[in-house]
Amino acid sequence: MKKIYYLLCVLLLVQCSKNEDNNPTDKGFVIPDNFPAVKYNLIENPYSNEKRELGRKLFYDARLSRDNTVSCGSCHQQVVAFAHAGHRVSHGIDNKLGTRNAPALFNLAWNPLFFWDGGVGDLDLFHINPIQNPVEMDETIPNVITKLKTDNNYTDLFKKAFGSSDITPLRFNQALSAFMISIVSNQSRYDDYIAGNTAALNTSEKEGLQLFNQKCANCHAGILFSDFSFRNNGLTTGADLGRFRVSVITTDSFKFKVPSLRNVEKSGPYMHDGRFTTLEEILDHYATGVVKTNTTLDTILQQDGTLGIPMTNEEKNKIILFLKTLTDTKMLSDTRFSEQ
Amino acid sequence: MKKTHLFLLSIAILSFITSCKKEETPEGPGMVAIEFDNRAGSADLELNTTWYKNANNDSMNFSLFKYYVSNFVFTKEDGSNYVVPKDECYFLIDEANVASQEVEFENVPAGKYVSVTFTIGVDSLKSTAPQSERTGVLDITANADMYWTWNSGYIFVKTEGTFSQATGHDFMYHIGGFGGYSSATVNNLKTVTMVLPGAPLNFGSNNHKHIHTYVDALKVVNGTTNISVPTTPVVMGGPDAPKIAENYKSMFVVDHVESE
Repeated sequence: MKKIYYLLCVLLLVQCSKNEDNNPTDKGFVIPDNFPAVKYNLIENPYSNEKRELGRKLFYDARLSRDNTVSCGSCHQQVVAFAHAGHRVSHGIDNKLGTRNAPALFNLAWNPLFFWDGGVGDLDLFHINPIQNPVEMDETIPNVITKLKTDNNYTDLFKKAFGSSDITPLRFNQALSAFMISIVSNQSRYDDYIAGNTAALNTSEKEGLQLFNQKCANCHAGILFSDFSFRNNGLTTGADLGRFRVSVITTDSFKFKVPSLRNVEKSGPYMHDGRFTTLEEILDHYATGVVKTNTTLDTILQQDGTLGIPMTNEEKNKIILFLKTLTDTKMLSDTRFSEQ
Repeated sequence: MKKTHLFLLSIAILSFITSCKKEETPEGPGMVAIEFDNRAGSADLELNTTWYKNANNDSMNFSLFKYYVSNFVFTKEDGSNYVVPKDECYFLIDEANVASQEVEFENVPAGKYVSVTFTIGVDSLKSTAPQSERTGVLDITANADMYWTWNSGYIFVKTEGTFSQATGHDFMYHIGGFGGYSSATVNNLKTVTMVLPGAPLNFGSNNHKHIHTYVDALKVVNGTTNISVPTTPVVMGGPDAPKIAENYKSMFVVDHVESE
C-alpha cells in the first residue's frame, strides 16, 4: 500500500513537471531525490503552481486576522527561513504574546506532526490554529471566507487553482498547504557537498560535520536534520508540559519536537520558548547546561552518569561552522515565496 | 372447450404459485430510529432552568450537553451483525437541538435483534481522514465548537453549566482524544452495547422500531470516579478526562422499544 502511494506521488510529480514545461524556470514543488517519502497527502490535494500562488496571497494577507493587521507572514519571515526574527514567542494581535516560539517553515511536506507538541497531524488542519488563536490572529474561518469573497482577485485565483470560483474552508486550507509544501530547502552548501562537490565545505566545516555526526545526529538525523521525535533536552522546565499536553502520557512531560537544523543560522531565537538567541548558547547548553529536573530527560543526554554531550570549545566552534553550511540562501531569497 | 379449460387451469395454477411466492418473500429491511432522550438522574434534562444533584451532592445546572455517537452495529439473536454503512453512521446529539436527538437507520435487514452497539465519539480513522471526507456533523468549520484545532480531533462529549446555586461558578467538561496520528496520544473512545428490553425483537419492513434511549448527563460526573464539581470544575483533556470517559460510558440505557 505504501508502495502504491509512493508510486502515485511520483506519478503526480511527473504530471506536475509536465504542466510546467511552458515555464521552465518554475518547477513548482519538486521532491529532491535524496529526501524520504513525502508525508503530505498529495493524492487528496495534488500540487499545482496555481494553488501555490493562491496560497502565497493568503499567507501574506492580513485579512486572515480579526482586525486585518496580522498575516501569517507577520510571524514567519522569509529572510529568516520563515521564523520570527527577534521574537522569543509569538507576537500576535493587540500586541499579545503567545507561549511558544514561532518555528521556521520549510520542508513541511516531510513533517509528520506539527507544533512543538505535535498536536496536529495533517498540514491542511494546521492553518486554523493561528487564525483562531486569540493571541495570534483571533479570527474565525467563516469570517475569513466572507472577507475573501468580497475580493474579486480571490475569485479569479480560486478559479485558477480549483476550477471554479467557490471559496470554501477546504480549498482555503489546501491552497495554504500548497504554498507551505512548495517551500523546499535543499540547496545549501552542505547539499552541494553531499552531491559530490567536495570543495563546497572547507576543512573546518568538514571537521564540524564529523563532530556533528558524532554528537548531534542521533536526534537531528538524516537529510532533514530531525528525526521528528519528542524529547526532553535538559532545559530548566517551566509550566509548559510539551507533548504531555497532547498525549496525556506521563513519560511525555516536558518533551518537545526535535526541530530541523537546516537554516538554523538564520532561524533564531531557539528552543520551544525562544530562550536562546545564538548558536553558541545552544552548544553551551548541550555541553554544560543540561539539567535533570524530570525523569523524562533524554537518555542520550545522561550517558555514563554525565549530563549533556561533552564538547570542547574548539569542537563547539567547528560544529557551529558546519551548521552555517546548512543555510539555503536560494530558498531565503526565492521570489516565488516572497510577498508580491 | 378443453383448450379453454386448460388455459384457465394454468392461469389458476400460475396465480396460485405467484401468491405463494409472495407469502414466501422474506420480510424486507425496516426502519429503526433511536431517540436519545437526555436526562439528569431520573428527571428530564432541562437546560439552564433546573438544578440537579450529582452523586457528590453538588448542585448542577446544565447550559450545554452535546456528544458524538457513531459506528452503529445491530446484533441479531444468532450473533450476526448489521453494520451501518460508514457514510451514514456519524451523529451529533445536541440537547439544544430537538431534531438532532432522533437518528434513523432506513435499511436494517429483517431479523431478530438483541442489542445495538456504538461508539461515543469519532473513531480514529475518521478523525484522521482528509478534510474533504468530513462533511455534515463532522464539518470542522460548521461544528468548530466540537473540534480541537490545537490537538486535532473532535470533542466527543461536551457539557457546560454552573454549579453551586450560591456562587454560580461554571463547570466545563470537554472530553476527546482518539489515540493520535503517528505517535500515541490519549484514547478516550468508548464503545457501548445497549441490550434491547424484551429481546429478541423482530425488525423488518413490517416491524419498524423506535428505540427510546435515556441518556443521563449526570453520569459524566457520577460513576467509577465520582467527580467533585467544585474541586474539578474544568476538564478539557488532561489526566481527568479518561475518568470522565469511563463514567459516561454508562450513561446510555434503552428504556423501551416501540413498534411503529
